Amino acid sequence: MTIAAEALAVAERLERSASLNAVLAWSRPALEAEALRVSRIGSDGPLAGMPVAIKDNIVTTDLPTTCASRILEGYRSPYDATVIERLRLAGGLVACKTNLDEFAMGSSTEHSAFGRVRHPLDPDRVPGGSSGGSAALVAAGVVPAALGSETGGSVRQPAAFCGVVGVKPSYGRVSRFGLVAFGSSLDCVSVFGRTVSDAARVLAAIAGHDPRDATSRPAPPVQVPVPRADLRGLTFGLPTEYFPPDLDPGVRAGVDRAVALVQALGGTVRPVSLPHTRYAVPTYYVLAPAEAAANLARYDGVRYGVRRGAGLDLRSVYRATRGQGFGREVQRRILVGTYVLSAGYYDAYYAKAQAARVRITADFEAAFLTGVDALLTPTTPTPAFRAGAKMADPVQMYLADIFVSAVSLAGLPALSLPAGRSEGLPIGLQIIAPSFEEDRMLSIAATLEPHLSATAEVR
Amino acid sequence: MTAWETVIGLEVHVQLATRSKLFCGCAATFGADPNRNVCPVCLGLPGALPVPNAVAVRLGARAALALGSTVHPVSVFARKNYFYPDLPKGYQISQFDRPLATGGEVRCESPDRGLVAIGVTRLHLEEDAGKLIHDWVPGRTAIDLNRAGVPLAEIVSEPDLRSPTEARAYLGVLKQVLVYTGVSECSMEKGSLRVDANISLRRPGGPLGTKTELKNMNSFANVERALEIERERQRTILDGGGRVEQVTLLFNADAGTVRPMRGKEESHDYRYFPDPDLPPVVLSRAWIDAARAELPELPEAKRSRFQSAHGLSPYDATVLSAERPVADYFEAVVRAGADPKTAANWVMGESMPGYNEVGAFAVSAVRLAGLIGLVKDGTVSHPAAKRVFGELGAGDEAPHAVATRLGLVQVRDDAQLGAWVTQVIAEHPAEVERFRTGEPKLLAFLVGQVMKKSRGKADPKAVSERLLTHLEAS
Amino acid sequence: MTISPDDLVRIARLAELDIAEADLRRLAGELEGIVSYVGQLTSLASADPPAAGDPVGVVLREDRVDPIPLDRAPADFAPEFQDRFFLVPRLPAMDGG
Ligand SMILES: [Zn+2]
Repeated sequence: MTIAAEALAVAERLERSASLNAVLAWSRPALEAEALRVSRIGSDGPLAGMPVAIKDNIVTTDLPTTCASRILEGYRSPYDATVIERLRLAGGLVACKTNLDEFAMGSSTEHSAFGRVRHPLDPDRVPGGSSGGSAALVAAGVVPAALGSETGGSVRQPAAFCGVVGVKPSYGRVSRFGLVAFGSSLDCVSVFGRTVSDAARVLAAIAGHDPRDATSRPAPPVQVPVPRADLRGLTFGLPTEYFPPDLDPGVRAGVDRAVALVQALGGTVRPVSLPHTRYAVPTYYVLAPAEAAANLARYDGVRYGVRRGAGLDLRSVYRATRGQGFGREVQRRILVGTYVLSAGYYDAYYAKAQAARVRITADFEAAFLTGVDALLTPTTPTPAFRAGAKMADPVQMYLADIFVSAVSLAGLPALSLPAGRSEGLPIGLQIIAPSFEEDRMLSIAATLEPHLSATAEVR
Repeated sequence: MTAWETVIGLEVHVQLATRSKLFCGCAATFGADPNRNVCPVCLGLPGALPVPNAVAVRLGARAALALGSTVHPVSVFARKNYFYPDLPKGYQISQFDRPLATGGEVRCESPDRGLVAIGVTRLHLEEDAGKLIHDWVPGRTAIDLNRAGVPLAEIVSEPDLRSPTEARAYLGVLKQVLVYTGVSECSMEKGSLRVDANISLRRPGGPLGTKTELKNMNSFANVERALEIERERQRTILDGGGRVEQVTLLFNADAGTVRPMRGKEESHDYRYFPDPDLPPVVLSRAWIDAARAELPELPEAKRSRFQSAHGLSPYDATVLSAERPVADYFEAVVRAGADPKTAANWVMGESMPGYNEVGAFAVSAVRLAGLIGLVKDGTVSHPAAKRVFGELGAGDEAPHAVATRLGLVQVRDDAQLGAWVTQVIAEHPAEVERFRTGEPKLLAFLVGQVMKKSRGKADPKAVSERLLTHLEAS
Repeated sequence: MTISPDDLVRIARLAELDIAEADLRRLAGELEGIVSYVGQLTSLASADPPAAGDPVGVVLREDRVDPIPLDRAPADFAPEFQDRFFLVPRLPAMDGG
């Protein structure tokens, strides 16, 4: 298929999938322009005309970037994110901008100012979040791969819910320049793929040091994995804290089946302990909001975006712009972040959370030091939940991220691999590797992938 | 009337002399069209990230080392959070609990206390804010972000200053050091040096009083004046049994008043935390040593060397070491062979007026040394040399050639001198007689007559000697 | 940890957020729920965490003038822009001027 034809086919599929509400912006002319651009540089780039959906918190000059927020409605970035430049350089095609929880704050994509995203297998359920639009599009077969972003599991968790591959690289592996900041010390541009290979190809294209991001790090390029014959010689740790008694039985069955498969392929499996795991979610919900409160201060209606409060004084303009422009969850997090940094509370919350983060990271390092090559855990405590189920209680929503936030705090690479279904809903197996060991992680995933029969019932 | 002791501390912001801004590649120049030097980073656009400027860090470290501060191997950029329209990100990237440098001192001359060492608390790096213009459009405040992100070093003094005059002296020395080391242009007119002052009064030896902060002074003289006005205001309050309120005051130079500032932040809860976009600034021992090695000789050291090595008076040494280009020029004149004291007189008397006017020396050091040599060996007289100096200009004609062209080379030809002397004695018998009968001042008259005959070309010393020989012999 | 509507108003002011009178109590309650949840961190032994080792230093940028270009000018994305200036409502007089 020619690239122009591929672009046309993507347009058709985008039209047919409109009911998912997974897309915030796309256009035929933009797609045609993308196809033309790729044809000009030649279609022999590593992505060879692959259409890739982009989470709408990654800035693009050709399509608006709203972060699913009223405050940025209609905003068009005057520059492209580094990952967009690299994607195009590799022959990738920007397919569309996808829906998300506003400013990536959420675990269900219900906190979008432009409506919730439907789960492709059950419209009454959520696709997970915050990168729910990207996950749903890949799961629905609209695009083979998509960019998302992770701050505390926002790609792995929806990947598990939707039954696709979700890869979060090590912190510093992919440039954040042009990723709208939420929690800067945690944010990672991450990738969804229909297959491990698709996700790895996209990751390889966007990874690498960027002088425009002082937290990005030089490293050898990411390799597209070749499946191994077996898993002999590899040791896998099962962190006991990730298998609590109240773990959903379907999730447990899915992960148990995957672990049995690992053993059948010659891998060694043994329990490990990550004792500070229980602090991960509270630590995350101090640090991420604290950073977010500062990161979102720039949305003040002065230089760009939507301004409210016409005729009022400046302070009232600020308050009206931000009060009306930000949704409820974003406001909650800004308030929490402001509170934990405010005079008299810094030591009790922020300083404690930083200390906890060091311990959480040390737990992983200690586990890997005992000779474990990778950790295996469930990605989520339950399969996709029903829309509205957790909207009334923010803390319950936060706990949907219980198995993914520690990895984010430690800056490690991790991946969610479809591991079967429970009552028709996908289950995710999480593979966690040491820092900058993406190649090992991807090759384990690629080895397991053909054996996992992702759509099979596990119970 | 009870005695109060004045306690002053200064916070000085200087713009570091970089080409580009602190965290982006925009030009850090002064005077561009509004919002011309802006980019995604300094506009605070969604997704943009800061990357620190290596030269800004180096200049900050250099300033710290010049002040004797300790440059820390690890320092941390933090976010200072507050909303203001000149602050694009809603926070300023600054350094808080881990500044680039701490400690150090500035030694300056106090009129009351002699040489005093004023402690430096800390030096840290931070980005500047934009510029606001009120009512440029009626009823609106206009924002120019060219200055947003320009690198600054903030230098905070200990509350060691005891008078407004000392404060001014401190600023003078600080500026001198920062200009000397190439850290900053330190121009208050261009906004590359700004001063905030804290002042309080207390009983000598007693606990510190409540301080007020003064802003908006646009010259060192105004800093001194504002402090004097505020000192008087506080003194009046305290003498009347009142209490000083902790406020920020704006100085109005035209009215000569200080007035409480209104409006800015409602709260000073800045919620500092380490900027997660920026790993710590880590400086190796070797890097810090190299920065130290890069330091030029500082004014104070130069001044004492000018006295010890060149035998200059304290006054001359101070004048000649005050600015690095002047000191370098003076030393170049000496290196080219001129006697240091003579060179000092020439540089101060002849070269500096032009330098102060245009900021450059018209006559190269080598040519000035050549001219000084012509005076020394008697080729031209001192007054003639001054005329030659005026003619030297920026050209490359040698001093001797200029003197010759102007006919100012002194005549020391014995025969010619003898002829003129004989003629003058013959033409002025009355004056000769009066000299001989005890009026020695008449010698000057006779020398003058010889000089007139020579049309200024004779060497007056030689003339005088020859005249004496003649008058005594006959 | 309790968060009163007054506490909430103070924090909201720092964050420059308008909060409707009607939402104050609900939001204060939600905030209190979140803050007490993250408050379990205080049970963490307060001994110093293991040293993180030598920090990786930031890579500094060369001092070159090479701004990241803007595809569109500020006038195109600013809510209020006139003759090269961003505009906001006139600030209260700072200097009596
Ligand atoms: Zn810039």
